[in-house]
Amino acid sequence: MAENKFPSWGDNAGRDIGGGRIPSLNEIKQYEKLDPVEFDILSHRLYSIINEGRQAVMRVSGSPVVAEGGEALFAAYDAYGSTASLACGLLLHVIGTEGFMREILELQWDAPGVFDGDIFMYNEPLIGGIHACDQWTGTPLFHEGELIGWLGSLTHTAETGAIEPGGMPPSSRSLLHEGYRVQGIKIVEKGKLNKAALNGVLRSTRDPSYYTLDLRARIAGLNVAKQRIKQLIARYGVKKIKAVMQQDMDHSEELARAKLKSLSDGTWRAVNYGDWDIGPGPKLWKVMLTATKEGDQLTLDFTGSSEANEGPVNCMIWGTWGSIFVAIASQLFWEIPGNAGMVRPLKLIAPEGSLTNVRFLTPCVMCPPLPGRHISNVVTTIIAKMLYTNEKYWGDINAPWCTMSWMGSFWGGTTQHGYVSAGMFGDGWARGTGAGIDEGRGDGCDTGALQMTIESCIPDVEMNELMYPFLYLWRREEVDTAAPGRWRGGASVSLAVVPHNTPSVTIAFRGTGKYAEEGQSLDGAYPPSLGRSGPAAIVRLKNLKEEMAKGVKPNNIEDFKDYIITKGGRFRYVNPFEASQRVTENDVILSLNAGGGGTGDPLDREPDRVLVDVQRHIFSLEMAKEVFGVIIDAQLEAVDEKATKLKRENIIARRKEKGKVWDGD
Amino acid sequence: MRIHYYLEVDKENKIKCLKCGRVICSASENYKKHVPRAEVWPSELPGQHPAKEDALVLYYEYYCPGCFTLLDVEISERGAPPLWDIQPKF
Repeated sequence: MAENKFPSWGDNAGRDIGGGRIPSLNEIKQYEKLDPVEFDILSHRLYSIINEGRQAVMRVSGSPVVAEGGEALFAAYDAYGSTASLACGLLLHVIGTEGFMREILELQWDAPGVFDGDIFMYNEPLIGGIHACDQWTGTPLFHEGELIGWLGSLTHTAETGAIEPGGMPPSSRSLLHEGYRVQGIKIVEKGKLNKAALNGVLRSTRDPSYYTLDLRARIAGLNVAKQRIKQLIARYGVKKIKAVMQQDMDHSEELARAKLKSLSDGTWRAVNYGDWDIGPGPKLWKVMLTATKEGDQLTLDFTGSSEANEGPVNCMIWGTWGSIFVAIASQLFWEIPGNAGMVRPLKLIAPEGSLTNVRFLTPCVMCPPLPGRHISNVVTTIIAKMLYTNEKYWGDINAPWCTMSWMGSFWGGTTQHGYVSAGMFGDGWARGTGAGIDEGRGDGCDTGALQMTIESCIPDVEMNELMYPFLYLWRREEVDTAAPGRWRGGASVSLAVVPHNTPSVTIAFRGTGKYAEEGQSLDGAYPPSLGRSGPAAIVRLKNLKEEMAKGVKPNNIEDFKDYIITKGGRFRYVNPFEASQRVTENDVILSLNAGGGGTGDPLDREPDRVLVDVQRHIFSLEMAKEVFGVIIDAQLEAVDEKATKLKRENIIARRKEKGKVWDGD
Repeated sequence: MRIHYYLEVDKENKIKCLKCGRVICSASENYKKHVPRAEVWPSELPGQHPAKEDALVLYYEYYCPGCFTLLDVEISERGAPPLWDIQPKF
């Protein structure tokens, strides 16, 4: 459905939709402005309500992805589906979910109609929601026969009945390989569960129990928020509630335009690479962004990005919008209430057929991390550069912070509890964030967050071990993952897990970093690395289960090597993408994540800070010496100032020797 | 006006190094075409990076021609021209 055709009945006409009437689009936009105090109260009340809805979702769901990781979105929309208020959680989806309500209104208004108590479900990336794992349920808000808005809830459900378990199959070659896609069915009709519709999903997945938990969690969240909205209407009257939704969006738009206007006009460019499509060998692809800021508008042009990949590393247009929103909401407009008004000053150009705007049925299930993270990276980069032009915002400048990951992420099989399940390791949410440019923000936050799920938490190891048929050998902040710079990025985690008490389990890998680096830094800092435990691998250790029962616990890459020499085994280094493969209780799955980007020349970092970094195992002695030019004694107690001065002079001399002005056209 | 951690545009619309004061070029030009750059393979740095024989992209380091401060580490295809990443409009 083309965006510009909505609503097909025109901006000046309302219509009967079954359970009541939707006013005309122009009618809902003409509202009586609330006075500043009342606006503040009602705006925050609405925000509290949707956050309470999100909390209900997280507390009811038993999925580690939702309950532990916080991959849940909750939003209130106006009658036409524009996002009026957004609960911080999955930033990726604010824009994408609006299409669901628009299609419901276009397709279902007369048959079967839209009624109070209906709950619709979607997970169609063509319409919104990024990829099939992201499952939205929404319910209309009626008041005295008038549609006044919607509530929506979205979770990442980690099993979709795709051609591989775990929801995100690396071997997908078509959208049709990526699991069930629900197209706005009423999962609840006028307050009653539609069991036949529910079975349509339950019988399409390997793990109906997780699906049911997540669905019931979303319904619980909607019920909680709907009740609160009713109470709000009873207290303040419906007119003010409708007004606050519009005023929220207009207010955010006004703030966003004012901020853009306060920055200098110009054009900024950034590029970010990936290294794998369908194999068997590597393939270089890129996301290219040219951003032009003029007055109070920002145009984001992805012309020059690679053509669509054959495999699932692609975004449909809503995935690209969502990935842009991740950066815009967290970096540029972080202080502005999140809603549809925030994106009104933005214009997106994403060539159709490129990996930023693939055609229908093109696979796209990897979109959020790949290339969605690349899209967020380039937008974060250009935002940082734009913010330099106004001193007021220097404290907000951030290097990119959602960088490389190369993980055995997706598993499927029989759990230790005896049932078939599938899931995703969410440990990579604990990624290092990007550095700032001054003492105020300074270094990135170690294992801080994933930019797209900004309120994410790292799942508890014990919870994962309880729910998944795996034991952890380790999960820890990994040395040398932080990007080295004047201000360093945050460090990220590596992890090693081994199947446990399962007759059969598979693992699939996805990532970048074997052939091309995705991580970015700013203004002279080096890109982050994947640490010192790599490359990602499946390490077979002979009789591991028996040895572990005796107390043996390999704790690092050197231990693996010693184990293989003394007891037997082998390393098998994996490609960035590998389809689901059977692993045994003798197989250690080694996963890596790079840290956040840094800012500025590493030679400008004070030696004493580097010493602390080494003492804290953020950086190795080698990194301190070769990149920072800081010489530290073997006991890690002091900087050798004289040797450091000499080393730094040597690095500068090497730069003078190697550096040549580009002589091309 | 500041445009970068180490760069500003001065009153004469020239891009200048904030550390050493070296004037690099006009603000209407790509500063990266006026400063020394060096090719560095990712594997030259500590940590897990692509091996040189596998790497599809490399780093171009750009230095201030005055103080040789590292201004940018651009991840790029080998031989690609400098990316015009900052193009202020006046």
